[in-house]
Parts: sequence; structure tokens; C-alpha cells
Amino acid sequence: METQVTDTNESSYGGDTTNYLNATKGIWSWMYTVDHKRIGVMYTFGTIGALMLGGLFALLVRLHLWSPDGLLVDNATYNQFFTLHGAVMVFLFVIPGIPGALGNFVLPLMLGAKDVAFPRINLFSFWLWTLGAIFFVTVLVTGGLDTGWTFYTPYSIQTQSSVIWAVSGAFLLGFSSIFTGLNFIVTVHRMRPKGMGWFNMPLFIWGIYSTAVIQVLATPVLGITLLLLAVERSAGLGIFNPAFGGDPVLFQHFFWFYSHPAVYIMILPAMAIISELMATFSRKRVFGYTLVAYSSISIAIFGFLVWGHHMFTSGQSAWASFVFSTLTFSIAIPSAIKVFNWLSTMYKGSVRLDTPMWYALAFLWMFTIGGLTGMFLGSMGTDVHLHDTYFIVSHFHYVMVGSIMFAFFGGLHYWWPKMFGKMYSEAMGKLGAVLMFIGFNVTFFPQFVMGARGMPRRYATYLPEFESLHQVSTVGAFILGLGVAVGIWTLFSSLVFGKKAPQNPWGAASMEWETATPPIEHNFHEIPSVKPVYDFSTLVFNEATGNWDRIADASEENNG
Amino acid sequence: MNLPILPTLARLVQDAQVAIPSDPTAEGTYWFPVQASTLAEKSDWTFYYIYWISAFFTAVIVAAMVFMAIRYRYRKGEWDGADSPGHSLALELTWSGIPFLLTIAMWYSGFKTYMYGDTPPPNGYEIQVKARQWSWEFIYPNGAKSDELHLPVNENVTFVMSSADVLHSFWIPAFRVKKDIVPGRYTKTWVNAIMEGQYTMFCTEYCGKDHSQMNAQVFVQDRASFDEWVGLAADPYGEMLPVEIGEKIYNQQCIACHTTDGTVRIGPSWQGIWGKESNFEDGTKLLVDENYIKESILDPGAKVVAGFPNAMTTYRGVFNDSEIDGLIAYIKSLGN
Repeated sequence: METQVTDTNESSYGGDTTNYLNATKGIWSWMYTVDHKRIGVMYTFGTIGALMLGGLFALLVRLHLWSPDGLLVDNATYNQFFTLHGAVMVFLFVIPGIPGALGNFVLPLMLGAKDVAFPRINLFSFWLWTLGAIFFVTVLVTGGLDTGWTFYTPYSIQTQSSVIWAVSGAFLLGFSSIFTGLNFIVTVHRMRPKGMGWFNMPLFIWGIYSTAVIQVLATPVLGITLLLLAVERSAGLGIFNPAFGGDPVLFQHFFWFYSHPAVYIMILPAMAIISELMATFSRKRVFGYTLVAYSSISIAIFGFLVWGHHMFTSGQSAWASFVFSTLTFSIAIPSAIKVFNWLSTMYKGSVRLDTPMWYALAFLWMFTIGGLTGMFLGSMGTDVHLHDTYFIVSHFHYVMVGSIMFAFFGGLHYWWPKMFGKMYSEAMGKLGAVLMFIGFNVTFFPQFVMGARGMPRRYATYLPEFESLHQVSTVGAFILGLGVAVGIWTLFSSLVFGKKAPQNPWGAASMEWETATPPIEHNFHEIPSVKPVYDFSTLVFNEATGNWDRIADASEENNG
Repeated sequence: MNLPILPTLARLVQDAQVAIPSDPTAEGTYWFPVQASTLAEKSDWTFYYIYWISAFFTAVIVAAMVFMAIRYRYRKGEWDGADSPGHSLALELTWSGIPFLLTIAMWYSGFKTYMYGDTPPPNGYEIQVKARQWSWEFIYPNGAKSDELHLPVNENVTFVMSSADVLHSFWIPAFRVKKDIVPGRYTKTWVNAIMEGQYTMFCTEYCGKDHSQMNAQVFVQDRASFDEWVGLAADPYGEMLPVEIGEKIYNQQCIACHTTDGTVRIGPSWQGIWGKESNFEDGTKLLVDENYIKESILDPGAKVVAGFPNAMTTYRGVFNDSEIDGLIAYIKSLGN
């Protein structure tokens, strides 16, 4: 039986050396592009910029908290630091990041498609993101923001800071999210190639799809809530303001009705990336594929039913709290299923510990902690003591940073060679991952202890008994910041100094790796044949080129 | 919605009183302050149950991950992964079923503890809690008012809480008690404090500038000492002169926003303002006299000094006439 290397590189672009990056030139060709790959690249740089801005505020927060009396600024300014850290990170980085940057770039390629279903709406989503970012920068240079990213009333009605600019920015970002979700839903339904049924598509697509469902259904509620808040502030409508007969707890219900599903908008794309990384770097189909797929959808659905677990101490009825607690525990099971299935993917696999896999394994560890600490909070009795303390702050950072940010960096390190045709330095990549891991845990593990011992959140100053734990946490924050800087530098410097990337450096089995590196403008010259999902059996490492070549029987008909 | 089932369930979970720990100087544990209330032991039990299960599963997952990353690492040469399983219903049921059963206890124990802590027993000793930006006031049944919370040991105390302005939250870590205070309504919680001593209470719902300094001291005393304290507190000014009363109030309630040495904070300094003309945001002017001071306390938004925000909460219902007289006397004493 003769084996033959099928070089789909040639057939897919006919030897052309132009790719999507250099096909057209000039800033307007980017500002007005409808190419999902260029839009993905712009989101990548935009959201990394937001990460750096939000990270700057984080370092200011942690530095100020070095001293019990506050090291840097007065209380009012500190309140701005923590608010802007949260708002910039949540609205400009975590929610849009993975879907905008990697979802946009990868999804059509993974489907063998030319683009998403609505390329112009895709561009409009990015413009809305940019406008939302401009609104937040306006907030910074006008009154700032000091309400917390949660905008609870009545304080957000009373404060002199730039609330209306901020909620308007968030409103625009919300629509960016809604249109992206709409685009992805239609793309997945209508643009799968023949032979790629729902249960033959990579789990990344299941994750992005489930996210899109939440984006479309939940985000409008945030939009209306923020609009009502703006009207309340400017016209004194009296919906949330008790001075006019309104109810502050109603704001919390409206806010969390979106913001709880929002955390699943954040985590599901991260889980989507992890599925790909675990499969590729174990060279095995994800264990329990079907259940992992169903768990993505069930997390999306159940995520709508639990918002009141943010409000156990709010004055809502005990009956409501009981129902929300019960439903909250139901979400634990699909998440646990995913972790166990990812782990089992390594069993009898062939595990390669390249940089993306370091991020994926770090994710498994930290998502386990983040998820388990959610149990303390879903249980009504323990939540009473832990709510609004550093325990909560630590829990959500384990999920938002330790899990989601790590998955984002894992995905970036995974798809970067495909996106830009350059390999980064493995040593630097791993250094970044290690620094991030150590820095993150040193920052946040002490915060669990602080919270349980009595340290409230959103405090500019604190009792001296918490000083040493705060200082440990601050040191960790700077190590984490260094790690993030190294990670970003690893990627960006590869654009200048990196070696040319082969077509499939990781030996991955999904379709985006069968195009040119970087892809041509229209993605594929001829769409590759659809293979069984996560079938690594036809990929063989070529020592000479550093590429994983696809081997096929000479006797088989193929698209080569 | 107030279903009759809940009070019934609450009565089922009200346990007998917990004995005082034998060592009154007990320190907290690695995770927690002392268990200074009947609630604390229940709350901590649920926490440790979840904690040990979590620690176990974290250790198992991390160990499995490290083991498999090494044991099944990539080796050059052919490998087709043919004999590695792709799914297992038995495993899926096991690792879903066992965690599910374990979480049932977390859910139930949490519910039980919550109902215990959230259901004030009947006939508790009632203390009114008034929260405002950025101080606390506690009003005792005999009319005593204080910025300190004193409690008789081993008695059920109910807190009836209200806010003058924005959301606050009442948290005493040593008691494991927390409840938000919502403007426009009363919220309630309760405690049975079992350990004499001094504890700290924090505001734990972000409420603006000095949220982190909105602490109060909590004193748990034997009944006799408590009665003595609350009797004295009902007559807090005793033989004090009005100017002394004003100074005492200033240091408790006004100092966060107003200075007496000319420094500007969120509100104007009181130094030298008596008898001077004050300019307001709306362009009008007025002499600072008794009427102006009284109006500024009861209706602060009526005349806002030029250059300052309209950020002062009213003190209507907080100060009686002699307290207002005291403040007027104190401001007079600061020079003109």
C-alpha cells in the first residue's frame, strides 16, 4: 500500500503567495473589510489593548492595597480604579474577546466556508466594539466611574461620575455582542459543509454556537436595563430609586438576569478552545464527545435560571433564594462532566506539551478551583458569610482570569501560526505561561482566606490584620502582570522575529489547518473533504519541515 | 411571597441553644474568626463539608492530569491511538452521579443554615439599625442611640434595618451574619451571640466614597453590664453643654465631609463661617445663622454652597432639637 502526501497547500491556493494579510493594503482596506479573518485580527489587537488597560487598573488597585491605609490615592479615586478595572475587563475584554478574535477567525475556516453568514454585520459588530471602547475612554477623561461594574442603584443614580457615558458604551458593546451571536448562529446552521453533521463538527463550534445563543437572548435585557438606568438618572423616572417609589432590588434582578448568563458567554468559548487543545495535544478525539457537546447547550440554557444566587442577602424572599440555589447546583454537573471528559482525553493519548497545552492544563487546574468555590456560593448558608467579600472576588477571578484568560492565551498561541504564518519562541511562550500561573495563584489564593476571615470587597482601606495577605496578593499581581507581558511579547515579537510557520505545526485535525498559512483571502481554493471529527490517524510528523503531513492511501479517491 | 411552608420549615431547623465555648479567649481558625454566635458553628460546618470534598477532588484531578501528561507523553514514531476508548457511559454516570449525590448535602445543609440565620425567632430583643453614608446608628428599645452596637450575651437579638440613602450591608464576620440594607424598606436579621468580647462590623455593600471606613464596633456583654451601658446610653449627653454636645456629634457624624480647620472635603469647612455671607450654587446669598444651619441639617439640598456637590444626606429624624442646638453652638464656637 503506497502512502502519498497530499499537499492541500498547493491545491487550496494554487501556489499563489498572497494571503488575507497582504491581499489589499492601506488602513481603509482594514476599516472597511468584510473579511472575517481581518475582523478577527482587529478584535485580537483591540481586546488585547483592553486587557492591558484593564490590567493597568488592576495593578493600581493592588498597589494601593499594599498599605492598610491605602498607599496611592484617596478613597474616591480608588473606587474609580476598581470600577474601571471591572468595567473595562468585562465589557471590552472578557465578553467580546474569544468570540470576536478567535471565533471570527476560526469558525468559517473550520467549516470550510468562505466567510460568516453576514460579513457586513460582522464588520458592524467590530465598529460597535470600537465605538464602545471610545465611550469608555471618554468616561476616563470626563467624570470617571465609581459605581462598581455592577452599577447598583441608588448609588449609580446619585453619583456625579460619568455613568451615562459608561452605560451608553456598554449598550453599544451589547449590540456588538448580539450581532456577533446572530451571525454565528446562522453560520453554524447554514454553512456547514456536506458531511459535517452536528455531531461531526469540532467541539469548538459547539461552544461558540452555545455562546451565540446566550448572546442573542440575554444581552437585550442588559441593554434595556442600562437604558432605564440612564433615563432614571436624567429624568428621575422612579423605577429603581426609592425616593420616587422605585425598587433598588429590581435593578439587581434585571442586571443579573443578563450578567449571570454573561459569565457563560465568557466561559463557553474558553471551554470551546480547551476542547480543541486537549484533542490536538493528546492526539485523540475528546472523550465523551457527545456529552461534552450536550453539556455546552445545557450550560447555556440553565445559565438563564440561576441569576438570583447573586442576591441571597439582598432582601429577596427566602423562597426565591431556595429555587435559585437548587438550580445553581444543577449547573455544576455539566461543568464537572466537561472537566472529567477533558482529563480522560489524555488517557492512552499521545500528549505533547507545547505552549498551548501548558495553558490548557493550567486551565483544568484553575477551572476546577474556580468551579468548586462556586459550590460554597451556591449553597445559601455559606454564601451569607462569603457574599461581598474577597472570597467572591477570588472565585470569579479563578474563572475569569485563571480559566478564561488562560484559555484565550492558549487559543492565541495555538492559532497564531495559522493567523500570521509565524512561529513564536516556545521557550518564551512557556515562560509566559509559568509566570502567569505562579503570579495568578499567588495573587488570588490568599484572597479566599481573606474573605472567609472577614475582608469585605471594594474596600480602599482595611484593618491591619489583613496586611500581610494583601501584600502577598500584590506581589502576585505584579508577577501575573509580568507573565501577561511576556505572553503578549511572545506573540507580537514573532511577527518580526518568528520563523515561517508550516501549514499544520500542531498536527491538528480540523479543517482550518488544511488551508494555506496564513490563509488566502477566500480561505479555500477547493474545499477539503470532510473527515471524521478529531481523526488524527492520517497525520504524520515530517521532521524536515516541522509540518504534520496528511497521509492518504494512494488507492483512495481524495480531493488532493 | 410568603408561603406558610417556610416558617414551618424554619421552626424545624431552629436548634437548641449552643453552649458558650469553654475558652473565651479562643482565636479563630485558619479560615474563620471565632464562632461567636449560634449561627457560626452551622455556617462553618457547611463550609468545611464543601471544603474537604473540594480539596479531595482538586487533588485527584491535578494528580490525574500530571500523571497522564507524563505517562502518555508523545513519543516519536507511529502511534495510532486505536486502543484508546472514546467514551464510556458507565464512567459518565459514575462521575456525574457521585458529585450529584455529594452536592445534595451541600444544597440541603446550606438551605437549613440559611433558614436558621434568616428567620428571627419571635420576641427577640429589637435593635434598630440605621445605615447612612458613611456611618451607623443603633437605636435601642429604651431610646438610646449610639454608633456602637452592644448586645447581651446568649439572647436572641433582632435587627430591624433601614438606610437613609443607598444600599448598605450589615456584616459581622465573627457572627457569620449578613444582610443587605435597602433604602425604601426595612430588612431584618438576627443573632444570638454566645461569646463575650469585642468584634467588628463592616458595611459590605459598596456605598460610595468611605464605604471602607463604615465600620462599627460590636460589644457582647453579660446582661448586667449591657443593662448598665444601655441605661447610660439613653442619656448620652448627661450634663454636657450644648457646644460639647455639638462637638461630640460633629466627631461622630459630620467629620467625614466637613473639617473645622479650613480644609475642604466633600463639604465646606465650618471654620469661621458663622455670621458670614454664604454664596450658593443658584446665585443667591444668605448670612450663616441659626436658621441657615438648621435648614442645612434638615434639608441640605435647599441651599448648596457654590462649588460643592449636592451630596449631603438629610438628618431629619436623626437629630432632635437639642442636638441641633448643640451643633449650632459648636459652629458658633469655631470663630467668625
